[in-house]
Amino acid sequence: MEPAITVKDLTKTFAVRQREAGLQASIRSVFRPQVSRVHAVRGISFTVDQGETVAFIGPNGAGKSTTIKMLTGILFPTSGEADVLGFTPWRERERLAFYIGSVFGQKSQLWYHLPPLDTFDLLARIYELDRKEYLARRDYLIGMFEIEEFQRTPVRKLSLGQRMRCEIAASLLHRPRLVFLDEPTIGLDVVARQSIRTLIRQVNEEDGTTVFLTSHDVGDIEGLCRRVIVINHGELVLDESTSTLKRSYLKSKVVDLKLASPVGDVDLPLPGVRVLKAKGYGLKLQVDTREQRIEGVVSSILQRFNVVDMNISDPPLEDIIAAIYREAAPGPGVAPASAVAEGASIAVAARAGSDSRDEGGGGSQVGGSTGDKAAPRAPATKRSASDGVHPSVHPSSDGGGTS
Amino acid sequence: MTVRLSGGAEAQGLRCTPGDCAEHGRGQGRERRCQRKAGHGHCPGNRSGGRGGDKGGGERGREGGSGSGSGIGSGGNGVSESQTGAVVVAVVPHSFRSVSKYVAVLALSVENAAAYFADTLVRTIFMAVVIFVFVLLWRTTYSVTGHPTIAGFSVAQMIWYLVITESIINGRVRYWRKMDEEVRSGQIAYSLNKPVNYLVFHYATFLGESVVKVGANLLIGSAVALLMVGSISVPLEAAPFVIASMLLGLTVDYMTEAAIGLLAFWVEDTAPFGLIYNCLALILGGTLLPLDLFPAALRSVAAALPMNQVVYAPARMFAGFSSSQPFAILMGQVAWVAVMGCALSCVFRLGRRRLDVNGG
Amino acid sequence: MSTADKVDKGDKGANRRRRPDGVEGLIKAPSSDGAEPAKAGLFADVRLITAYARLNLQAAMEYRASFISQIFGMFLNDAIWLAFWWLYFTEFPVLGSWQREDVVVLWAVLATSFGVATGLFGNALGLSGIILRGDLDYYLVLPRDVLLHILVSRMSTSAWGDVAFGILVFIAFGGATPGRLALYMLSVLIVAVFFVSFFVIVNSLAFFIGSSQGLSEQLQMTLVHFASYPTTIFQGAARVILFTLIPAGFISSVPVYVLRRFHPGFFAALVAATLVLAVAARAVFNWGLRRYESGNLVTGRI
Repeated sequence: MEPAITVKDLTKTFAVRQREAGLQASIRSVFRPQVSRVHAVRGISFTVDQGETVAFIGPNGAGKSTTIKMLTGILFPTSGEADVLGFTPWRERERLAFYIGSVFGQKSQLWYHLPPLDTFDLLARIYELDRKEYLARRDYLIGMFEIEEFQRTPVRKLSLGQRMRCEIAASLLHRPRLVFLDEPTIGLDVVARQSIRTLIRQVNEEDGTTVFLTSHDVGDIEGLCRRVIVINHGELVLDESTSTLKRSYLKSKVVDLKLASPVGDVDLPLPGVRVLKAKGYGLKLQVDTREQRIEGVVSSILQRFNVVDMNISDPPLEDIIAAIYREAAPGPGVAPASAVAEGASIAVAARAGSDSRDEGGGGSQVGGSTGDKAAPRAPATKRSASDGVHPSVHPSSDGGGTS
Repeated sequence: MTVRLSGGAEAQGLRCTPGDCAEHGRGQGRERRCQRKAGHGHCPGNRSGGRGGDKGGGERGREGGSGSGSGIGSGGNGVSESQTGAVVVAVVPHSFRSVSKYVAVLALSVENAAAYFADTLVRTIFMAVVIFVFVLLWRTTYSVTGHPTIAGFSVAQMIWYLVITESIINGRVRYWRKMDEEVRSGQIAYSLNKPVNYLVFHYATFLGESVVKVGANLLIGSAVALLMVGSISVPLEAAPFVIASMLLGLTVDYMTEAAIGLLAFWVEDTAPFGLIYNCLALILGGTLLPLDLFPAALRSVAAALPMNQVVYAPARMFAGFSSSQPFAILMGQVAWVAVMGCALSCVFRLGRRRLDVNGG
Repeated sequence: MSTADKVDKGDKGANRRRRPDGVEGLIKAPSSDGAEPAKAGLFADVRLITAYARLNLQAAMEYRASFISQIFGMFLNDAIWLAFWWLYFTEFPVLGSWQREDVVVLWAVLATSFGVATGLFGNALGLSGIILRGDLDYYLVLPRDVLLHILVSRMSTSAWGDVAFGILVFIAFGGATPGRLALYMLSVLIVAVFFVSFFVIVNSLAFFIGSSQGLSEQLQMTLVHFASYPTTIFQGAARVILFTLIPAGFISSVPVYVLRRFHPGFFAALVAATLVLAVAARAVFNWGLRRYESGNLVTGRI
C-alpha cells in the first residue's frame, strides 16, 4: 500500500522584514528594508504509512505548524518534496482537501450559535457528499461519538468535551484517509481526554484513517500514537515508536516532598538519586529508575524524613524533548531565529541551555545516557550516521540540511 | 515629593500609579510599587490602549450595524507601556494623585493613537473625499441659487463648517460599541473592582484617542479646503472658544454613546441604537447641513437633542465666530454635559445592579 | 523502507490521477475515470451559496430581537437619509438634468445592491482582516474555491434592512411596472457583483501591504459615498475619476441611464465594467493567495 505521507528534504525559509515601532523606523524600512532569513524547516524527511498513528511534536517554534501547513498545501516549501495521499499538497490543494480532515483545538469549525447537525449538513455540502451515504455516515459517527443527546443543542451551550467530540466527528464526515489533529484535547478534563483518545483510536482501527497528531499532552501521545516524530529548530530530532521512546527516555521519576521540618543538609547515599532542590521544607529528588527502584527510594525517604506530602511524577515531556534536543543541538547561533520567527518564546531552548548548566553537564539524567546503544535515535546533523541509525530516518536527508 | 514605600522595595525608577494596578494599592493615597516588568499586562492602562473600537467613522448609513463589521480597532494593543503615564505621575504632586491617574490614561491613549499615526492618516483619506465632494456639491448649489451667501454662510464658510463637523464626526471614537463589548464580555465586572471611576477612566481613553483622530482629520480636511476654497477669516480670540467647544462636544458625545452602549445590560443588541444615533448626529446634529438652514420645526427638534452640541456648536462657532454667540454656545454645551452626565451615571448605576457576568 | 524510490516525482500534473487506496464512494466521483471528484462545478457553487445563506440566516435568527432590530434599524437609517436628501434637493435645485425621483431610485438601487452584496457575500468587507489574521488557512484546507467560500461564509444581518428598503422604495416611488421592476432587479444584481468585486480588490491589498485594513475601509467607504450622489454635481476631472479610479459613476448613473430611460450603450458599459472588475478581483486575489502561500507576507505571518 502506498504510504500516506512521504516527505523528502522539505525545507522552508521565510524572509521576514524587520520592523521596529515608530514613525522614523517605518520610513526607514520602506527604503531600506531589513530582511532576515528564518529557517523554519530544514530539509526534513519521513514517511507515514496509511493507518499509522503518528505524534508530530516539538516545542513551540520548532517548525511543526510550518510543516503541517506544507503538508496540507497551505504553504509552498522553499525546496523539497512531499506526497500526501498521492498529491503534491501545494499544487493540488483543492483535490487533496477532499481526502483529508483537520481539527484545530484552538479554532472551531462548528457554528457557534447553531446545533452541530447544521454544521454537519454544511460540511456535507462542502465536500459534495452523496446524500444517502452522508446520512448513514453521519448517524454512524453520532452513535460512535455519543452525540445524540445534544446534536440539536446550539454549540455555544455545549461543554468543551462535548464540543470537541462534535468537532472531531465533523472532521470525519467525509471519511478522510488522513486527519491532522492539532491539540484536540486542549483544555479538556481527564475523562474527556480519555474518551477522545479512545474514539480516535477506534476510528483509526475501523476506518484505517491515518492520524497525524500534534499535541503537548503526553497522555495523547502515549494513548493514541504508535509513533513519535520530534522536530526542533526545523529538523527532525527523533523518529521512534512510542514504546521505544518510553523505554529509552522515561527512565527517571521526580519525587517531590514536603517535609515536616526544614531539610537542612541532605545526605542521601543512594545510587541514582540526585537532589534537585533542597530548600526550606521542600525536597525534590530525581531518581534514575534504571539504577534504583522507586520503592526503595521511597521507603528510605520515609525512614529518614518526616514526610508531610509526597508527589511522584514523570519528568515532563518538555524535559524529555529538551534532553533530546540537547543531545542533537545543531548549534547555539541557530536557536533565536526560528524561535522568533514562529513567534514563540525561546523558553524551552533557554531552559535546555540552563538545565545543562545547572546539572553541571553531567550527562542528562532525563533521557538516555549517551552511551546507551540500546536506544537508537535519529542521528543529529553533526553526528556520524553510524550511530545506531533508526531505519526510518535517512542519514542522507539530514546531512547539511541547513540552507 | 515624598514616596511611601512598602515592604522595603527598591525604587526602581518608573512605577505605575496605584489606581492602575488591580493587584497593588487599593484606594487612593496608598502607594505600592509594581514590578517594572515588561508589558505590565495587569495595568488597565495597558488594556485600554488600542481598543477604541474605531470603525473608521463616517458611517453614512452604509457600514453601520454590527453585521458589516470590517473595521478593526485602530492600531495595535497596548503598544507602549505607561512610560508617559508614569512620568506624569512622577512630577505631579501628591494631592493630585487621584486626577493624575486619569491624566495618565489620557496620555497613554494619546500616545497609543499617535504611535500608529501612519495608520491614522490613512484613515483620513475618506475625510479628503468627503470634503472634496462637498465642495463640488456646494459650489453647484451656490451657483444655482445665485447668491453669494446662504443663511449667512459664504461658500468658503460653508466648507470650513463642514471641515469641522466632518472631522469631529469621523474622528471621534464610536464608544457605544466598546461599552457594549464591555458589558457583553463581562469585562465590566472585573473593571469595577478597581479603584478607578469606571466612566471617567473610559472617558480618558476615549478622549485621548479621539483627539488624535480628530486632529488628523482636521489636518487633512483643512488642506483640502484650503486648496479648493481658500481660507476664511477667523479671529484669534476664537481659538480657545472653539477648542473648548470641541472638547465639550466630544464629552457630550462620549456620554451619550457610552449610555447607549450600556443599554447592553437590557437590550440584546445596541447596534440599531448606535446606528440611529449616528444617523441623527449626521443630520440633526448639523453635520451635513448647518442648523441655520433647517426649517424652524426641524430646528427645534434638533435643539432638543444632544447631537448638535457635538458637531454644530463648535463648527458654527468656527465658521462664523462673530455672528455666533460663543458664550451662549459654551453654556449650552456645559448644560448638556451635565444632563448627559447624569443620564450616563444613572444608566450605569442601574446597570450595575443588573450585573450579570457571563461566565464559561 | 526506503522512501527514495517512492519520491521520484516529476511534475505531478495530469499523470497523478491515482487515487489513494480504499476511498469509497462516499465522495461523489463524477469524472469518468472515477478517480476523484471533478472540480465542483457551477451548480455545486450555487448549492454552496444557498447552504451558507440558509445557515447564516438560521444563526442570525437565533437572536430574534437582535435580528429584527438590526434590519429595522438599517431600514430606518436609510429612510432618514433619503428623507434628508429629498428635502435638500427640494430646497436646493441643483440636480440639473436629474429629477428628485431619480435620487429616490438611486437610493433604491444602492440600498438593495449593497444589501445583496453584503448579505450574501458578507465577508467581502472584512476580507482584509481575515487575510491578516491568517484565518485564510481554514478555507485553504477545504475543497472549495477559496474566494467564493470566504465571501459567502458570512452574512450581514442589517443588509436585509437595506434590501427591504430599496425594494419598497422603488415600488412606492419608482414607478414599478413589471418591466421596470425586472430591469431594477437586473441592475441590482449587476451592481451587487460590482460592489463585491471592488471590495475584493481593495481588501486584497492585505496580501501585499501590511496593516492595510484602514486603507481598504477608506476605499470601500469612498466608493459607496461617491455613488450616493447624483452625477450632475461632478464635472471635469472629478467626472473622470468617477469612472476610472473610483468607478462609482457607473453605479450612480443607473437611475437615469438604465431605469428612467434605457440606454443600451451605457448598459453595455456597465456590464463591461462589472465584468472587468470581477475578473480583476479574482486575478488579484489569486495573485495575493499565491503570495500568501509562499509565506512571505509582509506581516511576517508564519
